[in-house]
Amino acid sequence: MTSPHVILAKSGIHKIFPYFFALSLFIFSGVVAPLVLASAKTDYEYQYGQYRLHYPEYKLLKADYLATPSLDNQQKTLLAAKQTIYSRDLAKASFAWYLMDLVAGTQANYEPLRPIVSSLAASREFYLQESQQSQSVVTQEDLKKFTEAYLKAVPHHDRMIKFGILGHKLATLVRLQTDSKNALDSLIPRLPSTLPATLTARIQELRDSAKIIDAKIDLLAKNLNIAEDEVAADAEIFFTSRVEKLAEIRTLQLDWINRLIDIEKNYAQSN
Amino acid sequence: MPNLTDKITNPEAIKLINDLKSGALWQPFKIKLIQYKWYLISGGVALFLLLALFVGKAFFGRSTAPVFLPPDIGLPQPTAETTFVSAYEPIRQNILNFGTELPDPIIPPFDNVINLESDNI
Repeated sequence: MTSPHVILAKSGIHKIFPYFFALSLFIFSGVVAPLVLASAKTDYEYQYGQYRLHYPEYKLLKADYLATPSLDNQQKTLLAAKQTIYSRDLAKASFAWYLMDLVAGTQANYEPLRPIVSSLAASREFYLQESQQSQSVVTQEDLKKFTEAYLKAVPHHDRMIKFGILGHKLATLVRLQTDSKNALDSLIPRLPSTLPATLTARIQELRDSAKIIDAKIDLLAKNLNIAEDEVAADAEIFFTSRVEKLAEIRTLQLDWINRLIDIEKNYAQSN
Repeated sequence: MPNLTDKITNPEAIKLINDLKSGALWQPFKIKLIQYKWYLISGGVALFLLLALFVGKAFFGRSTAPVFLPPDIGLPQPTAETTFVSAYEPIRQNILNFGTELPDPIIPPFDNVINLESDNI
Protein backbone atom coordinates (compact mmCIF):
# COMPACT_ATOMS: atom_id res chain seq x y z
CA MET A 1 0.00 0.00 0.00
CA THR A 2 1.38 3.42 -1.01
CA SER A 3 1.91 5.81 1.87
CA PRO A 4 0.44 9.37 1.74
CA HIS A 5 3.98 10.84 1.61
CA VAL A 6 4.73 8.92 -1.52
CA ILE A 7 1.44 9.99 -3.11
CA LEU A 8 2.23 13.63 -2.37
CA ALA A 9 5.75 13.26 -3.70
CA LYS A 10 4.49 11.65 -6.90
CA SER A 11 1.90 14.36 -7.43
CA GLY A 12 4.71 16.94 -7.46
CA ILE A 13 3.09 19.08 -4.78
CA HIS A 14 6.48 19.62 -3.12
CA LYS A 15 7.56 21.53 -6.23
CA ILE A 16 4.71 24.05 -6.15
CA PHE A 17 4.68 24.43 -2.38
CA PRO A 18 7.32 27.25 -2.24
CA TYR A 19 5.37 29.22 -4.85
CA PHE A 20 2.15 28.60 -2.99
CA PHE A 21 3.78 29.76 0.26
CA ALA A 22 5.16 32.91 -1.40
CA LEU A 23 1.75 33.70 -2.91
CA SER A 24 0.04 33.25 0.46
CA LEU A 25 2.59 35.54 2.11
CA PHE A 26 2.05 38.15 -0.59
CA ILE A 27 -1.73 38.08 -0.19
CA PHE A 28 -1.45 38.16 3.61
CA SER A 29 0.92 41.15 3.57
CA GLY A 30 -1.36 42.89 1.07
CA VAL A 31 -4.29 42.53 3.44
CA VAL A 32 -2.47 43.30 6.68
CA ALA A 33 -0.04 46.01 5.58
CA PRO A 34 -2.61 48.82 5.14
CA LEU A 35 -3.85 48.12 8.64
CA VAL A 36 -0.46 48.64 10.25
CA LEU A 37 0.69 51.41 7.93
CA ALA A 38 1.41 54.49 9.99
CA SER A 39 -0.89 57.39 9.25
CA ALA A 40 -0.11 60.99 10.14
CA LYS A 41 -2.36 60.70 13.16
CA THR A 42 -0.88 57.47 14.50
CA ASP A 43 2.62 58.87 13.98
CA TYR A 44 1.72 61.95 15.99
CA GLU A 45 0.14 59.83 18.72
CA TYR A 46 3.26 57.70 18.93
CA GLN A 47 5.63 60.66 19.06
CA TYR A 48 3.53 62.46 21.64
CA GLY A 49 3.46 59.25 23.66
CA GLN A 50 7.27 59.24 23.58
CA TYR A 51 7.36 62.82 24.84
CA ARG A 52 4.95 61.98 27.65
CA LEU A 53 7.24 59.11 28.56
CA HIS A 54 10.45 61.14 28.67
CA TYR A 55 9.20 64.41 30.12
CA PRO A 56 8.31 63.16 33.66
CA GLU A 57 11.63 61.32 33.79
CA TYR A 58 13.48 64.53 32.92
CA LYS A 59 11.51 66.51 35.55
CA LEU A 60 12.31 63.93 38.19
CA LEU A 61 16.02 63.81 37.35
CA LYS A 62 16.22 67.60 37.21
CA ALA A 63 14.68 67.91 40.68
CA ASP A 64 17.14 65.31 41.90
CA TYR A 65 20.04 67.14 40.27
CA LEU A 66 19.01 70.51 41.73
CA ALA A 67 18.77 68.91 45.16
CA THR A 68 22.07 67.07 44.77
CA PRO A 69 24.14 68.72 42.03
CA SER A 70 26.67 65.96 41.46
CA LEU A 71 28.38 65.30 38.13
CA ASP A 72 26.65 61.97 37.83
CA ASN A 73 23.23 63.54 38.36
CA GLN A 74 24.07 66.28 35.88
CA GLN A 75 24.95 63.77 33.16
CA LYS A 76 21.81 61.75 33.80
CA THR A 77 19.62 64.87 33.67
CA LEU A 78 21.36 66.15 30.58
CA LEU A 79 20.71 62.88 28.80
CA ALA A 80 17.05 62.90 29.87
CA ALA A 81 16.72 66.54 28.74
CA LYS A 82 18.12 65.68 25.32
CA GLN A 83 15.72 62.78 24.95
CA THR A 84 12.82 65.00 26.02
CA ILE A 85 13.72 67.75 23.55
CA TYR A 86 14.14 65.19 20.80
CA SER A 87 10.73 63.61 21.46
CA ARG A 88 9.07 67.00 21.96
CA ASP A 89 10.19 68.38 18.61
CA LEU A 90 9.40 65.16 16.81
CA ALA A 91 5.92 65.27 18.37
CA LYS A 92 5.49 68.87 17.24
CA ALA A 93 6.70 67.99 13.74
CA SER A 94 4.25 65.08 13.65
CA PHE A 95 1.44 67.33 14.81
CA ALA A 96 2.21 69.79 12.01
CA TRP A 97 2.23 66.89 9.55
CA TYR A 98 -1.06 65.64 10.96
CA LEU A 99 -2.63 69.05 10.38
CA MET A 100 -1.23 69.19 6.83
CA ASP A 101 -2.69 65.74 6.25
CA LEU A 102 -6.10 66.87 7.54
CA VAL A 103 -6.06 69.89 5.21
CA ALA A 104 -4.93 67.77 2.25
CA GLY A 105 -7.61 65.19 3.08
CA THR A 106 -10.36 67.71 2.40
CA GLN A 107 -9.07 68.15 -1.20
CA ALA A 108 -10.19 71.76 -1.01
CA ASN A 109 -8.26 73.67 -3.61
CA TYR A 110 -8.60 76.99 -1.85
CA GLU A 111 -6.03 79.67 -2.55
CA PRO A 112 -6.07 81.44 0.86
CA LEU A 113 -5.05 78.15 2.49
CA ARG A 114 -1.76 77.87 0.64
CA PRO A 115 0.26 80.22 2.91
CA ILE A 116 -1.00 78.30 5.94
CA VAL A 117 -0.02 74.93 4.49
CA SER A 118 3.39 76.31 3.42
CA SER A 119 3.97 77.72 6.91
CA LEU A 120 3.02 74.40 8.47
CA ALA A 121 5.51 72.63 6.22
CA ALA A 122 8.22 75.15 7.18
CA SER A 123 7.42 74.74 10.88
CA ARG A 124 7.57 70.98 10.53
CA GLU A 125 11.04 71.33 9.01
CA PHE A 126 12.06 73.63 11.86
CA TYR A 127 10.95 71.13 14.51
CA LEU A 128 12.73 68.29 12.73
CA GLN A 129 15.95 70.33 12.55
CA GLU A 130 15.67 71.27 16.20
CA SER A 131 15.21 67.64 17.19
CA GLN A 132 18.43 66.79 15.33
CA GLN A 133 20.35 69.78 16.70
CA SER A 134 19.38 68.94 20.26
CA GLN A 135 21.51 65.83 20.00
CA SER A 136 24.68 67.93 19.63
CA VAL A 137 24.20 69.28 23.16
CA VAL A 138 27.05 68.06 25.38
CA THR A 139 27.21 70.35 28.38
CA GLN A 140 24.75 72.14 30.63
CA GLU A 141 25.86 75.40 29.02
CA ASP A 142 25.11 73.99 25.53
CA LEU A 143 21.63 73.07 26.71
CA LYS A 144 21.06 76.52 28.15
CA LYS A 145 22.11 78.19 24.87
CA PHE A 146 20.04 75.74 22.84
CA THR A 147 16.90 76.44 24.86
CA GLU A 148 17.47 80.21 24.75
CA ALA A 149 17.74 80.11 20.97
CA TYR A 150 14.74 77.78 20.78
CA LEU A 151 12.59 80.11 22.86
CA LYS A 152 13.37 82.97 20.47
CA ALA A 153 12.49 81.02 17.34
CA VAL A 154 9.70 78.69 18.45
CA PRO A 155 6.80 81.14 19.12
CA HIS A 156 6.42 81.76 15.37
CA HIS A 157 6.19 78.05 14.64
CA ASP A 158 3.86 77.34 17.56
CA ARG A 159 1.57 80.04 16.19
CA MET A 160 1.61 78.36 12.79
CA ILE A 161 0.14 75.27 14.46
CA LYS A 162 -2.80 77.42 15.60
CA PHE A 163 -3.20 78.81 12.09
CA GLY A 164 -3.05 75.24 10.80
CA ILE A 165 -5.95 74.22 13.04
CA LEU A 166 -8.07 77.05 11.67
CA GLY A 167 -6.85 76.22 8.17
CA HIS A 168 -8.19 72.72 8.55
CA LYS A 169 -11.59 74.07 9.63
CA LEU A 170 -11.66 76.42 6.67
CA ALA A 171 -10.68 73.66 4.28
CA THR A 172 -13.51 71.48 5.61
CA LEU A 173 -16.03 74.28 5.11
CA VAL A 174 -14.78 74.84 1.57
CA ARG A 175 -15.06 71.12 0.84
CA LEU A 176 -18.64 71.06 2.14
CA GLN A 177 -19.45 74.11 0.06
CA THR A 178 -18.02 72.50 -3.08
CA ASP A 179 -19.95 69.29 -2.42
CA SER A 180 -23.16 71.27 -1.91
CA LYS A 181 -22.73 73.14 -5.18
CA ASN A 182 -22.01 69.90 -7.01
CA ALA A 183 -25.17 68.49 -5.47
CA LEU A 184 -27.23 71.34 -6.90
CA ASP A 185 -25.63 70.87 -10.32
CA SER A 186 -26.46 67.17 -10.24
CA LEU A 187 -30.05 67.86 -9.15
CA ILE A 188 -30.93 70.24 -12.00
CA PRO A 189 -31.01 67.52 -14.72
CA ARG A 190 -33.30 65.42 -12.51
CA LEU A 191 -35.96 68.14 -12.32
CA PRO A 192 -38.88 68.41 -14.80
CA SER A 193 -37.99 70.04 -18.13
CA THR A 194 -40.49 72.82 -17.57
CA LEU A 195 -39.91 74.21 -14.11
CA PRO A 196 -42.72 75.89 -12.21
CA ALA A 197 -42.05 79.52 -11.35
CA THR A 198 -41.89 78.75 -7.62
CA LEU A 199 -39.26 76.09 -8.17
CA THR A 200 -37.16 78.39 -10.36
CA ALA A 201 -37.31 80.97 -7.59
CA ARG A 202 -36.25 78.41 -5.01
CA ILE A 203 -33.26 77.32 -7.11
CA GLN A 204 -32.25 80.93 -7.55
CA GLU A 205 -32.51 81.39 -3.78
CA LEU A 206 -30.16 78.47 -3.31
CA ARG A 207 -27.65 79.98 -5.70
CA ASP A 208 -27.83 83.32 -3.90
CA SER A 209 -27.47 81.67 -0.49
CA ALA A 210 -24.42 79.76 -1.71
CA LYS A 211 -22.80 83.06 -2.69
CA ILE A 212 -23.50 84.48 0.77
CA ILE A 213 -21.90 81.44 2.42
CA ASP A 214 -18.90 81.72 0.05
CA ALA A 215 -18.50 85.34 1.07
CA LYS A 216 -18.57 84.43 4.76
CA ILE A 217 -15.89 81.76 4.25
CA ASP A 218 -13.77 84.20 2.27
CA LEU A 219 -14.08 86.78 5.02
CA LEU A 220 -13.05 84.23 7.63
CA ALA A 221 -10.03 83.30 5.50
CA LYS A 222 -9.16 86.93 4.90
CA ASN A 223 -9.09 87.56 8.64
CA LEU A 224 -6.68 84.71 9.01
CA ASN A 225 -3.67 86.59 7.73
CA ILE A 226 -0.40 85.04 8.84
CA ALA A 227 1.74 87.95 7.73
CA GLU A 228 -0.24 90.65 9.49
CA ASP A 229 -1.90 88.92 12.42
CA GLU A 230 0.68 86.38 13.53
CA VAL A 231 0.92 87.75 17.08
CA ALA A 232 -2.89 87.61 17.37
CA ALA A 233 -2.53 83.84 17.65
CA ASP A 234 -1.15 84.29 21.18
CA ALA A 235 -4.41 85.77 22.41
CA GLU A 236 -7.10 83.63 23.96
CA ILE A 237 -9.66 85.26 21.66
CA PHE A 238 -7.88 83.87 18.59
CA PHE A 239 -9.96 80.70 18.73
CA THR A 240 -13.00 81.82 20.69
CA SER A 241 -13.78 84.70 18.33
CA ARG A 242 -13.91 82.29 15.39
CA VAL A 243 -16.08 79.62 16.98
CA GLU A 244 -19.23 81.69 16.46
CA LYS A 245 -18.35 82.35 12.82
CA LEU A 246 -17.76 78.66 12.16
CA ALA A 247 -21.08 77.80 13.81
CA GLU A 248 -22.87 80.45 11.76
CA ILE A 249 -21.47 79.13 8.47
CA ARG A 250 -22.29 75.56 9.48
CA THR A 251 -25.90 76.56 10.24
CA LEU A 252 -26.22 78.26 6.87
CA GLN A 253 -24.78 75.23 5.09
CA LEU A 254 -27.15 72.91 6.91
CA ASP A 255 -30.13 75.06 6.04
CA TRP A 256 -28.95 75.18 2.42
CA ILE A 257 -28.65 71.42 2.06
CA ASN A 258 -32.01 70.89 3.77
CA ARG A 259 -33.66 73.15 1.22
CA LEU A 260 -31.91 71.28 -1.59
CA ILE A 261 -33.10 67.92 -0.23
CA ASP A 262 -36.64 69.29 0.01
CA ILE A 263 -36.57 70.23 -3.68
CA GLU A 264 -35.19 66.79 -4.51
CA LYS A 265 -37.93 65.11 -2.48
CA ASN A 266 -40.77 67.04 -4.07
CA TYR A 267 -39.65 67.57 -7.65
CA ALA A 268 -36.76 65.31 -8.64
CA GLN A 269 -37.49 62.41 -10.93
CA SER A 270 -35.89 59.09 -10.08
CA ASN A 271 -33.26 57.98 -12.53
CA MET B 1 -81.43 -25.20 64.74
CA PRO B 2 -79.94 -25.18 68.24
CA ASN B 3 -80.77 -22.26 70.52
CA LEU B 4 -77.69 -20.28 71.63
CA THR B 5 -79.10 -19.76 75.12
CA ASP B 6 -79.30 -23.46 75.65
CA LYS B 7 -75.55 -23.67 75.72
CA ILE B 8 -74.76 -20.27 77.27
CA THR B 9 -74.88 -20.40 80.97
CA ASN B 10 -73.18 -17.12 81.78
CA PRO B 11 -75.89 -14.95 83.27
CA GLU B 12 -74.27 -11.74 81.98
CA ALA B 13 -74.21 -13.09 78.45
CA ILE B 14 -77.74 -14.31 78.75
CA LYS B 15 -78.76 -10.83 79.93
CA LEU B 16 -76.93 -9.24 77.00
CA ILE B 17 -78.65 -11.57 74.54
CA ASN B 18 -82.02 -10.86 76.08
CA ASP B 19 -81.31 -7.09 75.91
CA LEU B 20 -80.38 -7.44 72.27
CA LYS B 21 -83.56 -9.37 71.55
CA SER B 22 -85.83 -6.97 73.38
CA GLY B 23 -84.00 -3.86 72.03
CA ALA B 24 -83.29 -2.58 75.52
CA LEU B 25 -79.61 -2.32 74.65
CA TRP B 26 -80.33 0.39 72.04
CA GLN B 27 -82.62 2.35 74.29
CA PRO B 28 -79.93 4.82 75.59
CA PHE B 29 -78.77 5.51 72.07
CA LYS B 30 -82.32 6.17 70.93
CA ILE B 31 -82.79 8.59 73.83
CA LYS B 32 -79.55 10.41 72.86
CA LEU B 33 -80.62 10.42 69.20
CA ILE B 34 -83.94 12.03 70.03
CA GLN B 35 -82.22 14.44 72.41
CA TYR B 36 -79.69 15.63 69.80
CA LYS B 37 -81.78 15.11 66.68
CA TRP B 38 -81.70 18.81 65.59
CA TYR B 39 -77.96 18.93 65.97
CA LEU B 40 -77.63 15.86 63.84
CA ILE B 41 -80.07 17.18 61.25
CA SER B 42 -78.22 20.53 61.13
CA GLY B 43 -74.86 18.75 60.84
CA GLY B 44 -76.29 16.58 58.09
CA VAL B 45 -77.61 19.58 56.20
CA ALA B 46 -74.26 21.39 56.58
CA LEU B 47 -72.41 18.30 55.37
CA PHE B 48 -74.77 18.03 52.45
CA LEU B 49 -74.20 21.66 51.53
CA LEU B 50 -70.44 21.26 51.77
CA LEU B 51 -70.57 18.21 49.58
CA ALA B 52 -72.73 20.09 47.12
CA LEU B 53 -70.19 22.89 47.07
CA PHE B 54 -67.29 20.51 46.38
CA VAL B 55 -69.20 18.70 43.68
CA GLY B 56 -70.28 21.98 42.08
CA LYS B 57 -66.74 23.31 42.16
CA ALA B 58 -65.41 20.12 40.59
CA PHE B 59 -67.93 20.44 37.76
CA PHE B 60 -67.19 24.14 37.30
CA GLY B 61 -63.46 23.47 37.08
CA ARG B 62 -63.97 21.05 34.22
CA SER B 63 -65.98 23.42 32.06
CA THR B 64 -64.08 26.36 30.35
CA ALA B 65 -65.24 29.86 31.12
CA PRO B 66 -66.93 31.53 28.19
CA VAL B 67 -64.82 34.33 26.62
CA PHE B 68 -66.69 37.34 25.41
CA LEU B 69 -64.84 39.11 22.57
CA PRO B 70 -65.80 42.15 20.55
CA PRO B 71 -66.75 41.43 16.97
CA ASP B 72 -63.77 41.10 14.58
CA ILE B 73 -63.36 44.38 12.78
CA GLY B 74 -60.08 43.37 11.09
CA LEU B 75 -56.52 44.72 11.54
CA PRO B 76 -55.75 48.36 10.84
CA GLN B 77 -53.87 48.58 7.58
CA PRO B 78 -50.71 50.78 7.78
CA THR B 79 -50.68 53.65 5.36
CA ALA B 80 -48.33 52.94 2.50
CA GLU B 81 -45.43 55.32 3.14
CA THR B 82 -42.17 55.18 1.22
CA THR B 83 -39.24 56.45 3.28
CA PHE B 84 -37.37 58.99 1.26
CA VAL B 85 -33.60 58.76 1.33
CA SER B 86 -31.90 61.67 -0.30
CA ALA B 87 -28.91 61.23 -2.57
CA TYR B 88 -27.40 64.20 -0.77
CA GLU B 89 -27.75 62.79 2.74
CA PRO B 90 -23.97 62.13 3.05
CA ILE B 91 -23.30 65.85 2.52
CA ARG B 92 -25.89 66.69 5.16
CA GLN B 93 -24.26 64.24 7.55
CA ASN B 94 -20.82 65.75 6.90
CA ILE B 95 -22.19 69.19 7.74
CA LEU B 96 -23.78 67.83 10.92
CA ASN B 97 -20.50 66.14 11.87
CA PHE B 98 -18.50 69.32 11.37
CA GLY B 99 -17.29 70.39 14.82
CA THR B 100 -17.15 74.10 15.53
CA GLU B 101 -15.22 73.82 18.79
CA LEU B 102 -11.69 75.16 18.75
CA PRO B 103 -8.93 74.12 18.93
CA ASP B 104 -9.71 70.89 17.15
CA PRO B 105 -7.53 68.84 17.30
CA ILE B 106 -6.42 69.99 20.72
CA ILE B 107 -2.89 71.34 20.87
CA PRO B 108 -0.92 69.14 23.26
CA PRO B 109 0.93 70.91 26.07
CA PHE B 110 4.68 71.05 25.51
CA ASP B 111 7.37 72.43 27.77
CA ASN B 112 9.59 74.68 25.67
CA VAL B 113 11.92 75.49 28.57
CA ILE B 114 14.02 72.41 29.02
CA ASN B 115 17.29 73.05 30.80
CA LEU B 116 19.15 72.21 33.99
CA GLU B 117 18.71 75.61 35.57
CA SER B 118 16.60 76.13 38.65
CA ASP B 119 13.00 77.23 37.88
CA ASN B 120 13.15 79.77 40.74
CA ILE B 121 15.84 81.87 39.09
